[in-house]
Amino acid sequence: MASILRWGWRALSGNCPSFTSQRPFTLGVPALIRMHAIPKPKTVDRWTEKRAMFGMYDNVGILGGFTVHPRSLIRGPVWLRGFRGNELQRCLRKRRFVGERMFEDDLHNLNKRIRFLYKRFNRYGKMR
Amino acid sequence: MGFRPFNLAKFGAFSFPHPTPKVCRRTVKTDRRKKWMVCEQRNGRTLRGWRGTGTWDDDDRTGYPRLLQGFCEKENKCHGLTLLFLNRIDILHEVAIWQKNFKRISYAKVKSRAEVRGGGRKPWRQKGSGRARHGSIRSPIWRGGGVAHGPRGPTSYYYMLPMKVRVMGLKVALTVKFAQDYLHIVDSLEMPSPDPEYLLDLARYRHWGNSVLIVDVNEDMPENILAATKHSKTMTVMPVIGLNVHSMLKYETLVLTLDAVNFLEKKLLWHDTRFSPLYPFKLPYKDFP
Repeated sequence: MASILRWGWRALSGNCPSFTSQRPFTLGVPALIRMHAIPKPKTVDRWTEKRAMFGMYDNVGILGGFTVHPRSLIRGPVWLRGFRGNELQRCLRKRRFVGERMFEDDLHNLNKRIRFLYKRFNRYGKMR
Repeated sequence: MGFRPFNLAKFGAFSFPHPTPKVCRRTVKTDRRKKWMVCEQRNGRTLRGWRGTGTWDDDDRTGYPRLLQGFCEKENKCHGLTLLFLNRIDILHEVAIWQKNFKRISYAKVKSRAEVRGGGRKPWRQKGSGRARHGSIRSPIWRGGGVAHGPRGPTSYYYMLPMKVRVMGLKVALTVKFAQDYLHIVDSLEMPSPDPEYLLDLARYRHWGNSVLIVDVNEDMPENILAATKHSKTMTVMPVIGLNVHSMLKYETLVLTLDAVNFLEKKLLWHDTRFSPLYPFKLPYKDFP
């Protein structure tokens, strides 16, 4: 019985022989991140189709007779092609372009956002 | 796989091995401020590309690409290939960053406290419950609440650099390619065979490097070269209209056809002496096509 107890205590405390060299108790908290090996670095293929052809036709205006502007190459939401603005400007533009065909919840949220941003930009703070 | 002898007849064969480059420096005095510009020419190197003779004299500039000559002869403007000292790497950087960013649209969006579902009612009364006062369960300090200052909606990072800056970027990129011996000029893109291995061998023989960007004037190029580059990642064929700084920096070697060089010369050098536009260039001008 005593030997079992002693075995248990020694197992928990890591078989430390004495009180002076090692601590006689165990702070048994498991590591939160469990790793059995160093993770492999992710391999990025620098020559995919997209990466190899990136930037093509960006100078189509200068080199191509100014019929096409590079902003027509931008793929994205209709209200953001060749446009840059702060949040209020973007919301207003979105409402103008696409507001009629939005879902009603989304349109309601957009209107709320516009109202809030208008008040924020035009009434509070130093910049008004 | 050993080196296969192949027929270079189409290219103006040169059957002897690549000659060792002899560097000869020529100083060119440009203006009274005594800026000595160094124009580096290398004898016997394949600046003439796949054309004929392999060696050419320093004095013989008939084969010298006229684009570069156009740059060399400009008196006061400091751009182009003569000016290895005044090369505008900052403009190159600006244009490269512009190319990366102007098309960017970030789609990150998080819901604000107004958009998160729920949270209309006051959770408990203002006074008397002993808990902190709150107005809604979706305020940003709550778990599950909206984000106060998060990314809002698709954001665009569009901007345009002035036209002349973009043109200058192209010029500087060509200069840089030339100065580092990565620019080659070719008669035409006709190939004897559509084999991709053939093109790889050719690139290795000519010491071109890992990646090659081949530029021709029109989009309709000989089928052989299209077939050879179709499945290759690092060798690409491109029309001149698609030429841009990012691609020139990404690919190690740049191979231009003579037509492409003439086209570029015309297009890029026009901006040095043009008037500023009264109305956008896309609308018709009398003297400009």
